[in-house]
Amino acid sequence: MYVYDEHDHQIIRERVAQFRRQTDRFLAGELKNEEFLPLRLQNGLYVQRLAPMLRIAVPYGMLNSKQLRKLAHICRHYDKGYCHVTTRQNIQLNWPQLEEVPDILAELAEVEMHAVQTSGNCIRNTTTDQFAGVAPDESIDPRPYCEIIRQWSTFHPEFAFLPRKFKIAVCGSEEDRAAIHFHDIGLQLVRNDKGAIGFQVLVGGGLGRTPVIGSVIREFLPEQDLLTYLEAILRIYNLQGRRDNKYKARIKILVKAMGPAAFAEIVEKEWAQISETPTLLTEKEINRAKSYFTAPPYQTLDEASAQQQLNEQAASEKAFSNWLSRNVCGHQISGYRAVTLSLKPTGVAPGDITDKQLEQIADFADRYSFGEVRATHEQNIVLADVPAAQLYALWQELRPAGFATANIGTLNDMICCPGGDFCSLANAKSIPIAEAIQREFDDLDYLYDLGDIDLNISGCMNACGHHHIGHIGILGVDKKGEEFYQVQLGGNAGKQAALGKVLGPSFGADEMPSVVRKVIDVFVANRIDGETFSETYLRVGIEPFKERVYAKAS
Amino acid sequence: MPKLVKNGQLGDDTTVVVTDASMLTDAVVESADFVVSLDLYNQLLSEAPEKAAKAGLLLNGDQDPASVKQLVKQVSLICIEFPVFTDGRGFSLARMIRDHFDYTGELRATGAFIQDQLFFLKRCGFSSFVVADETKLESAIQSLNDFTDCYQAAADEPQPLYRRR
Repeated sequence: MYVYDEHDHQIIRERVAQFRRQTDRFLAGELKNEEFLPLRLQNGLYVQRLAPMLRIAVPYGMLNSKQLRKLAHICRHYDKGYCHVTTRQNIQLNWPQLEEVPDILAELAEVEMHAVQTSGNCIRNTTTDQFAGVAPDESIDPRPYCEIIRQWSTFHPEFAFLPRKFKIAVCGSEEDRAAIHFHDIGLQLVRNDKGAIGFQVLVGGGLGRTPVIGSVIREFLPEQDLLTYLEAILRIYNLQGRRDNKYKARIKILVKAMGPAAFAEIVEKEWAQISETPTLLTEKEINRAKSYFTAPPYQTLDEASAQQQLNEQAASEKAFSNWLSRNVCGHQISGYRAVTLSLKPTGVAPGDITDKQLEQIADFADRYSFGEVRATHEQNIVLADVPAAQLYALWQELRPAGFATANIGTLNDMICCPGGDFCSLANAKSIPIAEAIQREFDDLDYLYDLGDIDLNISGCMNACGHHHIGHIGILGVDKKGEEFYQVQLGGNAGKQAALGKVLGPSFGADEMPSVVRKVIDVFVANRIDGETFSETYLRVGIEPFKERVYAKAS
Repeated sequence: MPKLVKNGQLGDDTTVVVTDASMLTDAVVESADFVVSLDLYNQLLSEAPEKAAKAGLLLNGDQDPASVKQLVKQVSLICIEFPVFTDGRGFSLARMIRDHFDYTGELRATGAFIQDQLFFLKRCGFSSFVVADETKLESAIQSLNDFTDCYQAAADEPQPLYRRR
């Protein structure tokens, strides 16, 4: 994990002082509301329906146990004892006091954390695969590049007042767990035929009101050219992106209007002028970044005997077997596994976590996983380096702590935005819909039989719950002051990137569990030989779902 | 009168914004302390080059940066006006003028920018700033130095931190 040196500390300390002064000026009436707005947003501070909301940056999802304990303290001392894991791998506080935010930032700075650029029209937290560095299908660890991008984008003087927010994701594996097709810039790490590391560059993807799948504008960008090329893209966007209409201001609209090839051409032209500047990355810097993401002191473990023991434990205890198959996945190092702690037990807002739970996770991390965890964009927590032989002991501890719900990847592991319960942008509530669906599908064996299904819920068009790319997507809409829900099918966040299609007219909240039930029934009825939901959908199309869901009662 | 912060020093902003050729009295021209739009500048170049020689250029982000490339060698004052403070085009325009066109004269920020942007403006190559509200001057000068260290290369520091650390 990256460790601050004196420069990083200095920059973050100065940020705290700067924001303290801005807050003081605002409270003293010296800074107008509309002027304070973008300043506080660039520090993750929203003013929400009930209270301010503070979004704390978790760069590419990595957290250590010291930081978890600090977050627990902050939740307890400055908030109501819980926080929320977001779909950008960040942490949100729902109830801080505006006057106390500078103190919270000062506390965060002590553990090398901040809230820099977690909102506002600037470059946001770079996200990646929650299994970075341990995934068996990974060819190149994306985290050093994420850290390089984090530093470059932090207080970039030219790109703090972009037409709109800007999100970058990096993927280094075969399967895309970072949704790079749906980011302003998506970077796929690749090797060229000479074995050199570089990036396939996608641009103009995104969700929101106008969902778009990103376009490849460069097949191979050598790694040392990363920052100059990003700078060229951002400069073109900053100068030419639309500023007259908030809903047409994202880079996807510019790329669509110009066409990806024409956009690529002007980027290349700008890049030609800056590619040889000192912003060209040095081998020394790439190696420095990589030096923070080396393997922890793994032991040499006996994979075969550990696996045999797991088989025996699984055979004798079904609940453990379920957890093992849903919440545990493979690892690059033999004898190790990555474990996902579910933050989606029924009855808890998806992604919510209490102060005590944060401390428990810190303890689990220290005792089972080299003191580190990852926050996932599906709003769960990962212990990435657990010895297989200790899985049973860990599971027994996770159960009473509430993290062992064996539902990862299932319908009940839904992505869900805070929605109308908290967010002032929302048209409809999303958390109660998630809970109602979880209650409808309370039979775990049935859930397992259904296999992997991404169900994503957003409370409005802004799509924080990524409803466009759920296999089943649910969007909250407002009709004359009443909350309704539109259903979409067939989205895909991965390499087979696809946007969901609208099923038909929307439904009331109370209808939603039975609507999802009908969708699932159609899947089950049409499914061949253990197909996944998305495979069946691709084969049969949306019609059978439409017919069933909108069938007149006979 | 609006104040001008230049090289950390404080003065009055005396520059006349000439929006129409009829405003170019002898006194204004002689003062050599006036700026004109790109269109007017091009008009003067063909009609009254001796006046153009004393003019500064006023840009606002609408112009294609390439269209000023040749002109920056002839002027010693370029103002970039921010129509609203959230319009960040001026930051990129400034960097292109400094980095691509090698402009070394005075680059002045005018218009609706706010003091909290001063540090970034300075990094992008602005060397002077018009501050309309005199009561905020002291606080504004403080904001110019919000940070003592930066990660990126910019107009004020050609080396990114990773080449210095």
